[in-house]
Amino acid sequence: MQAIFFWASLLALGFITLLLIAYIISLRNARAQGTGGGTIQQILLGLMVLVFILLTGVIATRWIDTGHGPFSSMYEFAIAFSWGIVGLGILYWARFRVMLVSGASSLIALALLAYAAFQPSEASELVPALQQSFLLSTHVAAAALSYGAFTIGFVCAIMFLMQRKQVKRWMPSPETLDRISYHTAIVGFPLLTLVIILGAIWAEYSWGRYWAWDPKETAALITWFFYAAYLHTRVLKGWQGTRSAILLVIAFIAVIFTFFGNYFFSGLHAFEVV
Amino acid sequence: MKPVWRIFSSVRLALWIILLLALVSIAGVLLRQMPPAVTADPELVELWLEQIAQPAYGGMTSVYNFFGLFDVFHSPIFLILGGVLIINITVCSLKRWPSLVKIGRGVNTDSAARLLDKGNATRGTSKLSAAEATTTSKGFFTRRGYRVREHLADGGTVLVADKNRFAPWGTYAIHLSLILLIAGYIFGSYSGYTDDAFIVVEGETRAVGFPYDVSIRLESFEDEYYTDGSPKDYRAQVELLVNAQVVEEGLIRVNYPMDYDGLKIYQSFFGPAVTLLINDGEGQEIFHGPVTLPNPFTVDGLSRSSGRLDLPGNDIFVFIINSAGPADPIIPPGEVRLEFYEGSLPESEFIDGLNTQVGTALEFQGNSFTVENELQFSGFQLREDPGLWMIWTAFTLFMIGLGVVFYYPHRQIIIAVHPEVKGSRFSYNILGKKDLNPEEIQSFTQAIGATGQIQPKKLERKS
Repeated sequence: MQAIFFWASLLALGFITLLLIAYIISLRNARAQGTGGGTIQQILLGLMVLVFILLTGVIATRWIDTGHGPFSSMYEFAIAFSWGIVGLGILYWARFRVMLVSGASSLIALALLAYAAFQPSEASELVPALQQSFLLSTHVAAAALSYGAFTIGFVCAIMFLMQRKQVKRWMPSPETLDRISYHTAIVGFPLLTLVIILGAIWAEYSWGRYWAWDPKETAALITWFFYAAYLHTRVLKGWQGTRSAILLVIAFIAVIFTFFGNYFFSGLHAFEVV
Repeated sequence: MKPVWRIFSSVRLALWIILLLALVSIAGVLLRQMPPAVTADPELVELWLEQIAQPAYGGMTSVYNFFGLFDVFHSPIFLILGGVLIINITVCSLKRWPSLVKIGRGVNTDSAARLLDKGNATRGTSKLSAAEATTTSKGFFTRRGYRVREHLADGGTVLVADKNRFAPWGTYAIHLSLILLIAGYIFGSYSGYTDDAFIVVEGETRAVGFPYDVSIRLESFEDEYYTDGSPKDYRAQVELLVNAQVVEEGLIRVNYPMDYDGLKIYQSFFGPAVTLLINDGEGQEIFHGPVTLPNPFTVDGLSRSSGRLDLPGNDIFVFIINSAGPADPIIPPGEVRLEFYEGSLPESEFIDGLNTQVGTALEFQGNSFTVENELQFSGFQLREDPGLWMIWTAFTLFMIGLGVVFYYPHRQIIIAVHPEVKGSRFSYNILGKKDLNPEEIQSFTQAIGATGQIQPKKLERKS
């Protein structure tokens, strides 16, 4: 069942990609900004909801099988990350009604699922340190959602930079992109802070130290620094536009670096050694 | 003094420090970091640089070491940047204090009219009469949780509406939390107690030592594994004793520490141990007690553990090595290998290596060595951190501060309504963060029946 959900999600995300191309063509051919592709937009939204349900199904069935949340392998966390992107993509559509942003974010979810497809999917047993179900599940859920928000912010920042030299009529306005990206930061940043705090509480509970400068927690802190810098400059210095967009892109690179860090970091978060 | 104040109260400085801290931290992620046990001993530092850093980083080793990049988070660079950030946060907080008090009070209604006249206001007309437009405006903002104050000026009405006026104090909570976090870390580090490797062998009782009067007795230790060989559980059954009286007993597992009077005891590591009896040629006991084998090593795919014991009264030491299990061709299960060396490491000289059956005496240079039994030891981490409450308070304050700043943003709008022959004319000026919720302004202009070209002001993008 789990495999069916997984491959169906991947397939549906593939359809989203194709429809997104059709949607962009439709928007480009439309006479006024944001008027094209009404039907395609509805189908895209439907598909995103379907993917979200399917990914929830993957996580739920796996949770039932393994008895724990999606945090013990890169395969599991890639699925959780995709789930966060698609879920927040739907919420951001509901809030801002900009399908291009939500749809384009789904492409990153597709890339993550494709990556997961090449990872070993065998469920591994939890080593003693990971047998802290509540803290670890909330820690990972918050990470998946914050990464999801940051992905949408990243997509907005890229689109903003594309709009910088010449405003493209078929794309959301720079002001809208700037607003959405700011919103993703004020959602993602507190969640990332929560990830770090929950990790610290759990580390204190397990090892008696809330902070150990473990490479992955340091990488998360670096990511946090970048988003803190973005928000600081935005709220206090009034930075908007290009400078903010560039900061968001750099910050998202830090997110990706942190996510894939399990491959080259040793320490408490390295799946192969915990 | 003023230039120093200006430098330290700069948000730009904070930004640069944050980015530099991020960059320095990247070095801490990418470069191998010395374990705390190494940094405490200059000789071990030299050994670490030679054996670990040099093969990995070659000629750059001395450069990295010069900048403290192998122990980034205790390096002068990191500590200076962290210190400057704290000063920066403190100065920024002090600088903002008067403006936050002012924001908390809200704009004076007398000066509100003058702010509207400064030319930054958006103006429009309405079909509603001035009285109706005023009432509608008041109702609109009151329903949305604004505090609305009214003032009569120049034949019209000036309304000052503000919401979440104490929200900017959220930044104070955030800044205070950062200061508290660092204070808690320093306080905990200097006044707390830490022992990362408190080893007790099964059946043994060990005193924790000053300042604690408690001893830990390890009743038993068990390690359990899944069928795929990965670890499932480590559990130590312990008793805590004070003056030979049991004051607490229970199971210590990973994630389930034991707490005794503020001292937390964590299950940390474990390994094999033996009980060794050494008698001299005349049958006099020269050693009798547990010896831990805490040093694992692998040869030809077989993992064994070893421990070292210096023989009292001479220059000889013995390595005690356990069996790797049923597949071990050199040390079968039920046997232990004793290797005797003369001198001190690393120039010591191998004398002899002998296997001995557990429970059977082995003769060497006139002494008899009996491995009485094979046991386990449990390694505990002992910690008491009196700064912990500051850390948790800092975390809580930080989250509250973030929530208040981002989700309850301060909003303030000044509206003037003047009667006209047909309807009214109005003007408004949004103070503070002007990019917040343009939809609300649009709804407001609709509510008072604005006519003409009135639109919420577009924010100029800074790029």
